[in-house]
Amino acid sequence: MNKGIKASSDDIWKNRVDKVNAELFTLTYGSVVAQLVRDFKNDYQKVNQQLEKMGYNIGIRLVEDFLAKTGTGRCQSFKDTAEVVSKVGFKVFLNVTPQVTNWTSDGKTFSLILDENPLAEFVELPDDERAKKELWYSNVLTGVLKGALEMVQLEVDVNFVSDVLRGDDRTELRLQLIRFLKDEMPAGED
Amino acid sequence: MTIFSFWIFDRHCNCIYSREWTQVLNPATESSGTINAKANEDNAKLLFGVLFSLRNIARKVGDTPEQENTLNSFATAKYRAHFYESPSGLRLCILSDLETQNLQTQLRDVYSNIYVEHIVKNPLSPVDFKPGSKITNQRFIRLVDRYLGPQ
Amino acid sequence: MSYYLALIGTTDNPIYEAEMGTYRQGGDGVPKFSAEMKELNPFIVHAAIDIVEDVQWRSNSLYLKAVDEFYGYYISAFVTPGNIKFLLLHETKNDESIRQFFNDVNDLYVKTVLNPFYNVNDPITSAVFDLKVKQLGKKYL
Repeated sequence: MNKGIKASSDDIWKNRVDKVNAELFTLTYGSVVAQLVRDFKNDYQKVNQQLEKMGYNIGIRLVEDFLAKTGTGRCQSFKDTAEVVSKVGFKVFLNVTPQVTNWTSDGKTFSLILDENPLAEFVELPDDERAKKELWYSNVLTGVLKGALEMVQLEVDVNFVSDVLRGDDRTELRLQLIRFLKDEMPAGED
Repeated sequence: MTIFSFWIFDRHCNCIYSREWTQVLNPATESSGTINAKANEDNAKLLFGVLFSLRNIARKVGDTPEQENTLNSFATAKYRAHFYESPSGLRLCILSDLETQNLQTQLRDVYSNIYVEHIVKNPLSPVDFKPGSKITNQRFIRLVDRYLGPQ
Repeated sequence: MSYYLALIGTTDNPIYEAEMGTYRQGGDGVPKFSAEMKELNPFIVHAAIDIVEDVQWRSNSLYLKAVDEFYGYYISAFVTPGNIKFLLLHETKNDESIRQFFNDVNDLYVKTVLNPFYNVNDPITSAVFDLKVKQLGKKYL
């Protein structure tokens, strides 16, 4: 099943995805973050929150595009979800395949390790002491994952654990399943 | 293959689009019918109720861990209703004549190529429709007519 | 032989300065400017800026070779398309290797500019940039 997923996601990336210049993408995201830093006057916590909000709005729409392109059905377990997110989702939109690791024993939390982060090419965090400790440059990804999974009835908490831009040796995201959201009932029914 | 009507329900159980096609003598020159008519509100609720209940029955009886059981279609004496639900909770329904057996591909096509392209990717159209508001995007309506309407 | 590199911004402000010694012919890589020379280096280089601005419009290429001379010290210049001037103060003429050196420093400069947090004409304070420039000096000078 894993080979099948990988082959089909490679195929979708090659044939059905519109491509844009990578530098344009990186520079656009970079100027968004730089402008937010200027607007919030270096309050990095607010910048992180704003990036997550933007990511959430992206995620709730992105998931429909993802479902339309890949035609995947419901995942049977959270482990399946993790595999689909990393091997198909990230591949189709960013052309990277993060690794899924660090499962907790109850199977509700896992980590995604990104070997390369196209959002952060050529980026160096500014030299004031707080940026390296407080700013999560790629925080938009946390919002995207949160929003996308919420639209398929999974409430998750997503956080960055480490980031190469901060000097850590790898970029790691931690996803924790909070609960399954129930389908809505029409008004007036039990 | 004649298609009588097309309905979209969102994940909050509201009808966000309804399109009916009436029979015309000369389909090449005009296509008529109603779009989002008020009178259809009650029909929409009834139709949604049926679809929702049947879908729940499909899930409860016949669901296995390997593959979820989903509602495909049901038929009455005069028409057949075809149903598709995306994992994100969007429900599409087409009422067609009895001869058409399977419209799943068409439903999937409308979802991926028309709905996702023009409603989801349009930043000015809301993700969650307020109860009572409908899709009024002209391009969407035109494309659906072209794809599903009488040729 | 020692080298003094300065990157000058569009408003004649210095963005980056480095002193390097040569590794050729048994040099140990430590810059050997005498104390007076150390003070004079920035002045000599800045005096050359006017000449560079003159010469840059006459030439098609980015590398302007030796634009000025001061008592045995040559000043070579390279102008980026964004009008940032790279100036190198050196004692021996070595056009080809200095050209390659400037090209590689240009690559590093472009990467710095791609950083969204770096505004043009900001001083370059990155230690990584510094280290890489010194490595290039070791390679070419």
